[in-house]
Amino acid sequence: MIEYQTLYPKDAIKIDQAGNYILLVQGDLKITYELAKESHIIIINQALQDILISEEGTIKEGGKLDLTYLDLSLGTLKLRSKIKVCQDAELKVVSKFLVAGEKDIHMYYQNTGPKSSVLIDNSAIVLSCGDLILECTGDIVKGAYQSSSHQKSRTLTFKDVKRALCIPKLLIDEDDVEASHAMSCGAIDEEIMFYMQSKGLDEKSAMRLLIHSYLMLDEMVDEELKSQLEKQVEEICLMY
Amino acid sequence: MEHVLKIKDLHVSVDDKEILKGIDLEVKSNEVHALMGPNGNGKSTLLSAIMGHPRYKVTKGEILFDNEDLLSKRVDERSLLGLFLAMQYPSTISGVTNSDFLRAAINARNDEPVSLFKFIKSIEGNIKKLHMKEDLAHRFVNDGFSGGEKKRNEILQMMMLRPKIAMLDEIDSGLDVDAIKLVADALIELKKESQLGMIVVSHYERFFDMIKPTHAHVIVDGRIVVEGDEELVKKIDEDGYDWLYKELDIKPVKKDERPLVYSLGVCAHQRTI
Repeated sequence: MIEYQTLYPKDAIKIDQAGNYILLVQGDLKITYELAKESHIIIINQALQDILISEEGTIKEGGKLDLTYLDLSLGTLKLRSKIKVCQDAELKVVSKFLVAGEKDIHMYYQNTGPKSSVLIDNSAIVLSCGDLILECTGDIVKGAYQSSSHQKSRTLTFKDVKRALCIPKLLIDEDDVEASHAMSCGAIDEEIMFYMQSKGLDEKSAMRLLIHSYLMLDEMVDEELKSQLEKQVEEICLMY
Repeated sequence: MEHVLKIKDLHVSVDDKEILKGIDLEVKSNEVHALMGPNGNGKSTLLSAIMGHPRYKVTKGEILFDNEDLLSKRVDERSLLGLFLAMQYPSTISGVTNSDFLRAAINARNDEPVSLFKFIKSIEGNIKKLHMKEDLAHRFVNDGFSGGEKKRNEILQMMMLRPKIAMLDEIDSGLDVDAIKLVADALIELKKESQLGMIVVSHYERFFDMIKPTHAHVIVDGRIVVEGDEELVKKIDEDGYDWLYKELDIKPVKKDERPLVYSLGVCAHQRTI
């Protein structure tokens, strides 16, 4: 059961052709859930103003959650996500943030039971004047034996960013587990830009292709949403 | 129409070190210029500087293409004018498919976007000609490609973009014998169809033998020290460069020997929550 509270009536949950829950967020959002089945939640920030998204969830024994965050908004975002993953449960998180303003993101995923699995894949693009803090913690507690917690974060920065701070954390209190983190954070490789431009792409076209590649919008199932997000990317590219 | 790339007294520095010390070169449509010389003496620098790589600073001289000043133009503008650089080490662009990349590059050259049907027909035909894998269009640019595949991908791009003057930097390295023949055939066909002019850097006479250079130049220590034709290529293949150093009393530049520094990085573990 998914429960959510918001001050803005425009917020909606819609279910796409693939059965995914899609939350189109227009304002502050508090979401809580306990899931025991296989679910896919996509949270898309469409707010024009500064917002706080607060999420607390539990994936109960044998449950499985695919969680996607997508944020191309220009405003400030504070995201606090805390999910407990019980015995034999699985959590897969994919996040994509386009950072033009301020994004303060703290994710905390806890393996609370044995044989639980957490897999996190974060991508962010920080544009000029963007300010990103992305802290992602995987926590395997005592007793969660044979569990796994893996995370990777990729952050691409454009010229003159304010800050791009990525903090991957692993807290491990059990011996018989698998855990890893990988992180890359840096500017676009000068050689890649030269390569793209030497084939005739100007800076904006090259940037557009790179943003698309980072956000992997082609993987979106909902065509309407996909074209809406592509339009949003176009608008942002035109601003830079 | 004949196209001309003219380089006059070109001086280029990288990180404040002068690499090219006065290059003069003229390349016209239909001409094939072999650019030879020992490693680290300026061949790749010359090609990168012509294309406008930001690391290579032109401190003196001129580069003109059809009498237009290239030095005042951006890299993409040089490409749209008709220059093409097939790189020695092509970049990998994870997440961007060859198809999206090439369509964007073709569309940059046209007022109207290329039709999907026309594009697919063209790329599939060229992939077949180069004996490349059928799924190439849907793979990310050079991601997971072998050395030979990367080089063939550069030629594929060239075939799709139809430049006027192409600069090929060791395009034959990493290719097996059959692939070298395929690439050479593709270049000859392009030259026939579009009067393509070429500057070709290679260390192998075998490749030059296939594409038949009309001119040959040897760069030593940032200068063209000798010029000729196919015969010069053959002589260098047989005798190396030592005779040149003796005859002209010159010394090649040796690559900097810098110590390799490795770091295993730092891993921290702290419970804070």
